[in-house]
Order: sequence, then C-alpha cells, then structure tokens
Amino acid sequence: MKIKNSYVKIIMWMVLGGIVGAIGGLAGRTIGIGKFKEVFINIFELIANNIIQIQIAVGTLSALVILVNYISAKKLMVKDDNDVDELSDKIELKQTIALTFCSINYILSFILFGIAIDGRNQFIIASVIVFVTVMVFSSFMEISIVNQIKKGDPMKKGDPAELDFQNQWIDSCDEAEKLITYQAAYKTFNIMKYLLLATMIIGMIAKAALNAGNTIIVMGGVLWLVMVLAYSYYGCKLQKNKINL
Amino acid sequence: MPLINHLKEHRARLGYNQAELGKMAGVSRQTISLIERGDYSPSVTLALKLASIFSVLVEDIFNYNEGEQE
Repeated sequence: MKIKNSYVKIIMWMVLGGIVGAIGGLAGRTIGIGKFKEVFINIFELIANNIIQIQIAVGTLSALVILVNYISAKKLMVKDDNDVDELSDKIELKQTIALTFCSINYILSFILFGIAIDGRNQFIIASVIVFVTVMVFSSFMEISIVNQIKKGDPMKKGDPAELDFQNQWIDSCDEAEKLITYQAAYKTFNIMKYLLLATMIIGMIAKAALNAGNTIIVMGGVLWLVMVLAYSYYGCKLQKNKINL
Repeated sequence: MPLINHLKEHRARLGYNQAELGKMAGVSRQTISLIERGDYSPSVTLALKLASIFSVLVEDIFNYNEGEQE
C-alpha cells in the first residue's frame, strides 16, 4: 500500500525512527551498555597501542597507490597509440585515482594523528614525523598530478599551493565539466545531510554509553546548520546573478 | 536522450581526434567524448561553435527526436 499524503508519510517516518530508537534503547538495557562500552574501549585501546604501525601502514599503502597511478599515467602520456581517445580515458582515470588517494591520505592521516596524540603513545615523536612526512608527500604529489593534468590539457589553470586554487580550477573548466562538478556537489550535499544526522545520533549513543560528552552532538549540529545556511545563501545569491556554466 | 548527434562522423570526416576538436571548440576532450556518447547536450553556443568548425548547420550535427526517451 502506497501512502500518498505527505503529512502521514512524515509521521510514519517519525514513528519508524521512534521504534528503531526504542528497540536500540531496549537492546542497550538488555545486553547492557557496559558491554558496548567494553567493546569500544577494547577497539580504541588496540588502535591506540598500535597507532604508529597503523600510521606507517596506511601512509605507505596510500603512497604506493598514488605513485603507481601517477607513474603509470606519465608513461601512458608518452606512449604512441593509434587510439588517442581511448588512451586519454585511461590516463585521466589514473590521474583521478591518484588525486583521490591524495585526499584520502590527508583525511586518514589527520584521523590517525588525532588518535596518536595520546599520553599512552610511547612513539609520539615518530607519530609526528610520519604525519608530517605523509602530509608533505601528499601535497607534493597533488602538485605533480595537477601539473601533469595541465600538461595534458593546457586549458586547465590553477596552482594547488594557492588558497583560491579551487576557484581558479573551476573557472578553467568548460560547461560540461562544471555541470558534472555541480551535480556531484549536490549529490554530496544530500549524502552529507544524512551523514550529519547519523553523526548526531551516534553522538547521542556515545554520550549515553561512553560518557563521550556533547562535543560530537554539537559539532554535528553546527556543521549541519552551516551547510544548510551556506546552501540557502548561495542558492539565493546565484538566482540574482548571471548563470554562467 | 532525444538529442541525436553525428559529431563523431563529422570529426572522423575531418580526421580530428577528440582532443584536437576540443581545443578548436575551446572545451576539454572529455566534453567532446560526453557529447559523442549522448551523455551531454551542449549549450547553444557550443553547438554553434562545433557547426562552425565543420562548416555545416547545427541541424546537420544535432537532431531533436521527440520519440526518443530523455
């Protein structure tokens, strides 16, 4: 049976959320929040105790993926092939993978470094060195990959070392590339709405089960608020301006 | 896609690859590839530019067919 009334639909979603929350709460009481807490603490203990090894492993693996794809794209760029179009597709895919892993490397390094800043970490200096090395490597590789892309497509502009790189880059993109970027950004906006809601729910559970405090809830809420306000502001602003794809 | 195009045929006729045509039209190779695959409908400006490069009418490259699904 398909419900057509929007008001009924939203109430159904809220009731469903309430039921899930109640079941979760009951499960927590029956199994015991202490057990969840124990599992979480054990996992974090394991990570914290081996953080330097994890930092090195993650940094090395990401670096390998970046280097392999960058070098492979470089080799393909000098290759003489009859099907130039197909070859260009391969090169662009490798460059995209390499650039994506640069970003993944940054994010994972920050997470792991955040965990490494802990009184129990006996290798704190080593953790700092690994973090700095990974950040420098990823930044340098990002510049090299962007330069490689610019070499293949001289219309592309922008220096990753400058603060307005993203603006320079999007300005040098053509209409189809801009449309792809905007569509991807809108999809990401929608995903983020659900992710931030999930973050707040996790924050509430962490507060109840692990005495994690209000930081996660407040951070999730602030980010959600800023995202929605920024979206509305730019939506209104762009409606008044000339649409320039 | 209701917009049918013959870009690939016109490009082949003049012996250009996608990157060369993109350079002449002021767009990237990927954009030419997207148009040829029917995954992107170009703006009026770009369609006119492409027609001018091939010295043909826009209708010779792009046809609107209402029978086709969007």
